[in-house]
Amino acid sequence: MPGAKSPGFRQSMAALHTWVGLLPGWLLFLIFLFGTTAYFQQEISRWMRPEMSSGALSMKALAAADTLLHDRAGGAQAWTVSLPARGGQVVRVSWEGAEGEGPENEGKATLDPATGRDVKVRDTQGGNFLYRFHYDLYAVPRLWARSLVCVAALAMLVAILSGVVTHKKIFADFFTLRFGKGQRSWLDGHNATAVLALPFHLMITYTGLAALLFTIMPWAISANFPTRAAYNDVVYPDAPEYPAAGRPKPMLPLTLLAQRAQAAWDGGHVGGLTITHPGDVQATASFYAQRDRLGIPAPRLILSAIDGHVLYRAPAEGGARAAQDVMILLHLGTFADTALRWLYFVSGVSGTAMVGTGLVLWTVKRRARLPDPARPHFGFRLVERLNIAMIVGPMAGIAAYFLANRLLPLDLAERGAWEIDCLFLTWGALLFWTLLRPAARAWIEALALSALLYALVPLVNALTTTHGLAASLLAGDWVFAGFDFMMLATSATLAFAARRLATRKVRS
Amino acid sequence: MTLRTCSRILAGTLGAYGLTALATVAVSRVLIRLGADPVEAVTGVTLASFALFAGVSMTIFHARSTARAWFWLLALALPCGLAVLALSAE
Repeated sequence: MPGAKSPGFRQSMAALHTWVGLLPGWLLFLIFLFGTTAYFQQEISRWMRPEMSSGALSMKALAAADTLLHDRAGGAQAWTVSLPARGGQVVRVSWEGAEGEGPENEGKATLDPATGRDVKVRDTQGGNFLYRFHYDLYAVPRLWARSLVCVAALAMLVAILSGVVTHKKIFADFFTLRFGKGQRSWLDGHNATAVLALPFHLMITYTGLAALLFTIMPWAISANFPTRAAYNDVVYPDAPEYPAAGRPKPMLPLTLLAQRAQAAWDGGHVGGLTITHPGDVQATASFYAQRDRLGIPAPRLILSAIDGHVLYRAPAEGGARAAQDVMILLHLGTFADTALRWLYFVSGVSGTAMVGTGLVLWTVKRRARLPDPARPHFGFRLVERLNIAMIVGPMAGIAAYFLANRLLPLDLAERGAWEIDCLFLTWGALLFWTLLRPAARAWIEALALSALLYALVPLVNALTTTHGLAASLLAGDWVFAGFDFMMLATSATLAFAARRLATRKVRS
Repeated sequence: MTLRTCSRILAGTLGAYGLTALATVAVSRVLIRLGADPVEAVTGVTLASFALFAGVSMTIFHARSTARAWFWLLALALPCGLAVLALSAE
């Protein structure tokens, strides 16, 4: 590019960065905030189901599932067991009859991963809802939600690249963080959080687009395949079917079949299995692997449930499909150990802060340039209020989601849906409040309220369960203790922000 | 906002998207005609399309004039379109 080093290039990129940053900025903030929680979605789910034991997954659970299915689901056509990736998660067991059959051969159960005990857990969507929200949103048709998320991600990609160009002295900027200097501080904060995890931001944006690959870029499929389904048929070929012979024969125990599958995968962990025609001489066990290793995922595997020999192994995927799979794994971070997951989490927090500070910077910068900064025009006031509602609102909502998990009656119908309603009711109430209050006060009040909600979470937890902070620390239960500490840390951060804003107000 | 700014924004967003989509189709068709596996070609080209979009979009916003931006957009779309037509599946 001829003018690549002229000031014109940086100026045009700066304008581009500002505009593609603001318009999808609120959506990006939500994607980053909720996506960041997803790195600990198993721990969040664990905390939201305090009835479970904290033990690691043991083969006892699979043996218990085997016994339960033999006892209760003898007449079923298919048995399914899904195993959790980490300890403290439910083992899900379900069975169903042949197609067109009534509900007499259907059922499901949740088992404790350590003991295999059939446990009754409270109805909640746990951390999974927060994870799903970051790309499916809520109450929006899925295709619309994902398309919006993809457009925001594409804008993010352009914003990052143009942002890099805009900051000529990118590393000098990184070491400059001046507090209490108004606009300059917001810009410093924006630059520092952006540069701190720049490779992460680029990676997470691009791999996110790869995960929703054909959502907004379906044209190569349209041009080369009759339908999207035809493409999927080639990518995920149907496994051969093994019809029932009608002669009963005892099957191998599920634990032994799982060991065979692991051996066939060179040690890959079982994520779930389906037994078709249980108890028949033609019974099969279909396995899929846990995605806990970085690399090409282990192929789907079908074993004979009678003698355990491999009947079918899904064909290996080509280079491009493998590249897409590895990109998705990098995005999800499911392969990461605890230390790496914390790194993912901290990078996610930095991304959330980068978008948040960028949004605030937009209004701070424009306020200074207004003809009468004391009385801004309607458009500016709207952006300012929406900033508060979209930055603090969802954070308060997540705290309310956790509180609702502890406070809603256990036998409430649609309890899981009520927890989600509490998140959005709190968020909506906060939006309403900010529209009524002067902007400077609204920031302080919204932040203070959120700080209070987060501080209440460990307190309510201690009062309603046996997993209070002191008990968790004594028991060495780091998931529960860590969760409570994270709530307190979030509360302290929000309270600090509210206090700084309040004292600054007094000074001016 | 001036008409020129609107035109520039249109070129940098929908224009860049259109060129990217057309290039994605053209390259996937060429690869398949050269013997590539259709799933691999479609997946690989689409994975690369987001980088292409970012490059095209930034170039358009940086172009010396809006007219030049549109000219290059159309000049690049033409061979892509011709390739798509020439290699259309019978």
